[in-house]
Amino acid sequence: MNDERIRQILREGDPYAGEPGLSPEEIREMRRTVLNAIPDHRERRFRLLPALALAGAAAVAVLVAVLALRPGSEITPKAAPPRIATVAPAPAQPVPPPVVRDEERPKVRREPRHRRRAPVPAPEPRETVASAEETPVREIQFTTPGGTRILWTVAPGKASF
Amino acid sequence: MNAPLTTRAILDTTRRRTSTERLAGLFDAHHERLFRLACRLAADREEARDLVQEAFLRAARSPESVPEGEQPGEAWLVRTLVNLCRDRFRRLGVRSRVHAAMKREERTEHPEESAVIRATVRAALERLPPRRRAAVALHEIEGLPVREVARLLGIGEVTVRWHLLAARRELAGVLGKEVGK
Repeated sequence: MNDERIRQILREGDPYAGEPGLSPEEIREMRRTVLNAIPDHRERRFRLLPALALAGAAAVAVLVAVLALRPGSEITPKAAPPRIATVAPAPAQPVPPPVVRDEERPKVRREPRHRRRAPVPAPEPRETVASAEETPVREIQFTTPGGTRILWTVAPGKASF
Repeated sequence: MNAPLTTRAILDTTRRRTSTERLAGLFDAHHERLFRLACRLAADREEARDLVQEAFLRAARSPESVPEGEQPGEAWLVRTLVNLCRDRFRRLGVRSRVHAAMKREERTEHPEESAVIRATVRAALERLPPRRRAAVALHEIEGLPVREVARLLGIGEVTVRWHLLAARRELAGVLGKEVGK
């Protein structure tokens, strides 16, 4: 079957050949439907208004949050200043009590071994801030924000190397 | 109550009026020609009418996508019609389409020769993919030159020739058995 014969058959059996076409009523109805489907630009803009308002509010909130949490802003808690600790000198050794002979020692009722309590440790000497006159040796301690600790020992009369 | 007469309102009204006038012009100029093509691409008259209406509705919903000018507007509508046809082609399976065509042929009792040829041609065209079918309808049936077909379908002339060659090969197999014997 050659091309010309195919063309001839196609034209003989053209699917549109038997069709009456669109009637005037169909055309009118279709035209009205199509022309009514044109969107109103004003309606479209107002339809987008709530979404735009929401997006704007979200943007403002993000901006405020960024400004507030930015380093150096007033709301952010400032970094702690370097700590300077002054260590007081060790307390003087207590004078040992005078030796008492067994006959002179008062009788103390001793509890059995299993009832004895563990000796309460003596309270550690509290750290006190000593004045410059009282402390011959001073330690100055810095802690950097990165965690590095710097310890200076200041002793009067000693040269630093 | 009347809307406030702002510049934007005036522009909107003008734009809408322009779109309406332009679309009305496109509809009046091309609805018949589009329906003719749709009848050759679709399975029946109702489907062809739906395809034409849907193509114009797409133009109405996004008037800015329709290019300015008579010929570019026509080409846009033809391409939209063919694309709609392709969507339907994909939705329906090939098997269901062939079965439907065969049923239509079987239903015809005491058919006249022209009716047989028409049913056979329709069934043969339905086997082709929509773009190829459109190329055959425009070139072989409507008699448009290859260059015009390429412009309307938005493809190259070489592609149109390739579609026509492949279509002729497929149609010769089908039509040769039914009509050419």
